[in-house]
Amino acid sequence: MSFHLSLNTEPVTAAFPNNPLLVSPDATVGDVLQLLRTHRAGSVLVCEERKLLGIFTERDALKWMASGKSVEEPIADFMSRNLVTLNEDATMGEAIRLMSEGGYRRLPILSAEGQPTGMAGARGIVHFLVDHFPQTIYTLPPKPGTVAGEREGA
Amino acid sequence: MIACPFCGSTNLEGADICDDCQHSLTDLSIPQPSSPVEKGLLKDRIDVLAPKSPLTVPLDMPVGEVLQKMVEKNIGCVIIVEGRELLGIFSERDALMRLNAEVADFLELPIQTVMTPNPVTLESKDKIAFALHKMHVGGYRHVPILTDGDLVGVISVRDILNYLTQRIDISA
Repeated sequence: MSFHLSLNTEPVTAAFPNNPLLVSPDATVGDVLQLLRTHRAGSVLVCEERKLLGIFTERDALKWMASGKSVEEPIADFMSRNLVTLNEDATMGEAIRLMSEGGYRRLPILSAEGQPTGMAGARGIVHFLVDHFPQTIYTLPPKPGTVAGEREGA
Repeated sequence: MIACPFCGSTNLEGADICDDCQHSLTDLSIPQPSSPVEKGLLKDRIDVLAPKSPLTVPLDMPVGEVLQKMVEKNIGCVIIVEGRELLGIFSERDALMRLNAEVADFLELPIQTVMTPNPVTLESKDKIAFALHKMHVGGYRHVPILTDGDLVGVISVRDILNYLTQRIDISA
């Protein structure tokens, strides 16, 4: 199977999407930040009654930190509202194109009913790509230019 | 078993020289790139990605000021330097994991206290495959790039993604 073919047929769900973290719009910034740290995640989706309202990412967290506002502020004031989303049946190629054109690092994946089911990230896509040429990437020495004089253990 | 390309006799897997004709067999274990993308990764140097010049700050700059700068310039990481020496890196991710909701307690402290010291770096003449290796295996999002020991730029995982997608035909 050629590389070209697989990008246009593989669904974006193969790019190791993370489970989305969901919070309500009246959650406080402090709570959300702690949730992010606990899950070691970079973003949460803000939902109200199963409808996606916005996303709050590391970038927004940085803006909140620089603004010096209180941890009691509602998350809705800091989230990004203009969301670019993917359908579950979107292809890897579409996801990559959206990411590099829009400069996004994460895209929420929505089911047919509009439910968020995953987060596709730049890292997951790189992982997917590297899995197509593992020999080139995984077998590199830890430092460039290192040449072993002898076989190890032999 | 591996067949000797010179005399055709079979040797044990991993043998260095052919038992029959004494020809070296070590070249046989060097992985061969199978697609143009792979060849590019092994041939192109990091220069090709045009590393963006980084925002550098001194060790004693207060955390609050660093955060302001990152938001103003719309960048994801700063490099902490002293003179010409690279000492640490501080990214959005570090802000989220270390400062979190207690950010107010840190604003006056020097950036030195929350930076990641001694980050992994690469030389601009290294191959892109190494950058991908560091980022993927090491899980880093930003890697500072040096030329002969001097900081010249930072590359991010998105630069790599752009590089790959320019070379992989994704027209659906």
